[in-house]
Amino acid sequence: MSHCNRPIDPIDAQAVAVGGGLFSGSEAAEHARSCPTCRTLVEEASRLSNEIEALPAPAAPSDIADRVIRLRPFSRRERRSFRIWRGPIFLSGGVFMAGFVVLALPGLRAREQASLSLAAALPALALLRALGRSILETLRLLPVGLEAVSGSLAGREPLGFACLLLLAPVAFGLRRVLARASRR
Amino acid sequence: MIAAALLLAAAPAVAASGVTSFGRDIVISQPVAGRVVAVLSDVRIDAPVSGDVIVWGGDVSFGPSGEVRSNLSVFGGDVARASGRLPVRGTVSTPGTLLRFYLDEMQRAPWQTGERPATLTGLRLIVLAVWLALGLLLLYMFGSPFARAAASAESNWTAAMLAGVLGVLALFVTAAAALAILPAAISVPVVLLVALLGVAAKVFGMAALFLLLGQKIMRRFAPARRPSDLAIGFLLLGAISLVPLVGGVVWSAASVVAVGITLTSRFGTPKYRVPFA
Repeated sequence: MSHCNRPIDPIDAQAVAVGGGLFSGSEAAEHARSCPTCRTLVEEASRLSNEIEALPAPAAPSDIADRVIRLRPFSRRERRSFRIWRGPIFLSGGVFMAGFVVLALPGLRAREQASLSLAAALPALALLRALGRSILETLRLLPVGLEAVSGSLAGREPLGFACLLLLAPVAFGLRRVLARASRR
Repeated sequence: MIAAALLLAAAPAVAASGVTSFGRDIVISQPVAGRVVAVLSDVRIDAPVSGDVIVWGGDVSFGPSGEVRSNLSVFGGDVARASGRLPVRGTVSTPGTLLRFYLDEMQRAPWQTGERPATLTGLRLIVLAVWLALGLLLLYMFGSPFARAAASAESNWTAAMLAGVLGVLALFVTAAAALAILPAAISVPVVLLVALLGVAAKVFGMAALFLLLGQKIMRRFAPARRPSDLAIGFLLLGAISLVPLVGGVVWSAASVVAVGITLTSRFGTPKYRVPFA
């Protein structure tokens, strides 16, 4: 085999074998026609290409359709269809009402002198007001409580460094678990 | 373990300005000039406390001569009093609990709740209804990430559980380290952010867990069935959560797994994104 001073690289050889693609394809093809070394490279690339083309396509897993359907988003129709949402919504409302009845029953008995509707409304109003107050109080006191703990921990740096020491293996373990999970 | 050992070994620190305890119950038998801060420990107050009493993850009880002359805040715990008014001159707060406010609105004393177990059951049912409504709302808004998170958890339960345990531990240890090392001006926002992340992970993961349980029970995965599957999974977990003792343990374990599901599925984001031409 004669020696070539400007051998084409494997990517050019592949491009020439399959009929172009690279901007230098025509120049490389011209060179390959006149150079036996490079022509051999192109023929090998062409043979490889044909062998790859002849390989049987891998069969899709039998459950591929189920897996795709399982992960697909809701269609616009499904999202807007009340039929598929009504059962769970009624269930949520039912559980809420059951809780409310359990709350309200003792109140109803205690307020026999009051009108029934007013007696029933009292626990509902109380619940709404309690919910609002509870959220507001939590938001207001969480920073205060944390600040108190932080102030109390001020002289206990060893505890903080021990936590950091503990955090290192925990974070490492978590990272490994997450990396393994994402590879599956 | 190192931090836990240090935490539990730390004896209550008594200073002129106040008392601090981590993991050890304290009894206030002498008057305290400053405030009392207790974390993961119960506090019994048998003498006057001039400053605030702030307790995280513990209960507070009062002796006959116990008194708090400022505010009492109990995070994740109860306040017990045999009878009569609480001897607190300032405000009594139990942030995060609905029960005390409801009883207050109904003009019933919160420390006498033992007589009204129905109230607690009713509030639990209402909170469960809110969980289902929240799950449905999130499913409606982001359907596919929940399905992806559920599928990811099903394919690797062990990873979800392990990631949950490690994730929750990492959140707590990060918060503890931040509070102990950083100044309050930085540590408090950091801990609030960590808490926010934890809450978001739990809410997302619980909805995905409801969906997965429903899909496993019903053995169906069609998108149109997701809402009812989520409701069925919720019914199972919600019903178990109402069983005394066991319910709390199962719900807590489910919360840890939920955080794991969120972490392993990265909030249900796809592993690969294929651009449409």
